[in-house]
Amino acid sequence: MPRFKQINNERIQFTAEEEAARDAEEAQFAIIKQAEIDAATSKANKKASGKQKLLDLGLDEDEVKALIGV
Amino acid sequence: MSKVEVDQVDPQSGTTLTLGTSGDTVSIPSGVTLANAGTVTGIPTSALSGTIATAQIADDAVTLAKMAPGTDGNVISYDASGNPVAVATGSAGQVLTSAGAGAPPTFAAAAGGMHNLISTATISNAATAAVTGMDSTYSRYLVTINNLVPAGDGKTLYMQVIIGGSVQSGTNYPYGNNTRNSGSGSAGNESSDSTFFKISKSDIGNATGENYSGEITLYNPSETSQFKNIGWRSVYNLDNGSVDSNIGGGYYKSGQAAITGISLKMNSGNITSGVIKLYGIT
Repeated sequence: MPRFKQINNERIQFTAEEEAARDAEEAQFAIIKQAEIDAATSKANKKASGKQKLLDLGLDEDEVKALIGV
Repeated sequence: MSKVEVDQVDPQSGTTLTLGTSGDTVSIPSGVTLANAGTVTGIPTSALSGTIATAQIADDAVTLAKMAPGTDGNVISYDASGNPVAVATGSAGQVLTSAGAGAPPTFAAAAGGMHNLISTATISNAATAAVTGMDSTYSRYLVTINNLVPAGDGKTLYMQVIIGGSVQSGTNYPYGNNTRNSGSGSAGNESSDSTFFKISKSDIGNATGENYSGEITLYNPSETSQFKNIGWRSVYNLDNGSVDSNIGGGYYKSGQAAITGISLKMNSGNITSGVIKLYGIT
């Protein structure tokens, strides 16, 4: 299905070059998005790991939450 | 001429008293008062002349039907002498504008407010949606986005600037977002070397009712000696059912050329719908 660009209220069908560029762009965006997901997962895991270490040191839940917010 | 002096004249028979015959004139001399305590009938309007004093017109007695016809759309005002005048109709969309003391008002274009609407675009299944029309007329432009819905679920909205009619795709878009999510609290993201501004931190949903609404401000986009700072804020529904409130900003760092528009796109797929308005801010 052809893509369209809209400039104000005018719809213009993509050229072949624009289609190829958009395909490449979406592929690049997918890589970026996966990297963001991976980073967020890593951050969440590290936060959970750090929290557990604080709990293991003897802090209670309220104390840990006061320190790191979770 | 004979003269009859009596205190009262009554019909000789019946109840009708006739004065003169057809063609005669019955004169009431100057200084004579004709006092009527009864009813006068049968006087045609053509037989009336002279002036009707204001006091003789009862309050609320002049109806619209009694007024002379005028020109469609005119309104009645008063000139500097206090005389009534008709204010010309004007054109569609104009408003009645005071000329101050000494002249009647006229219809004129409404004075610009703080936000001056330049254009409205309704997005319909487009891979990219561009808004153009920024120039030196205003030092600040506002783009509002209402109810933007992505074709795919869980998409991110990106923005790039337009310079000289071309969407700029280089790695020139440093930005930062401060986001508060209804489920997970505060977060954000940033980039120092992106090829776009990411104007939604998280993934926008497209289930029934879910949408992105927000606004983008371009500060002095047409001047050519400073970097172009751009700010945005938005509220959007995520594909997980939560909602983000986002405030962000960035600047286009490749030179200081005038920006003439912006282009929006999802990270993949089309924008199904949405309404974009461009305002110049005075």
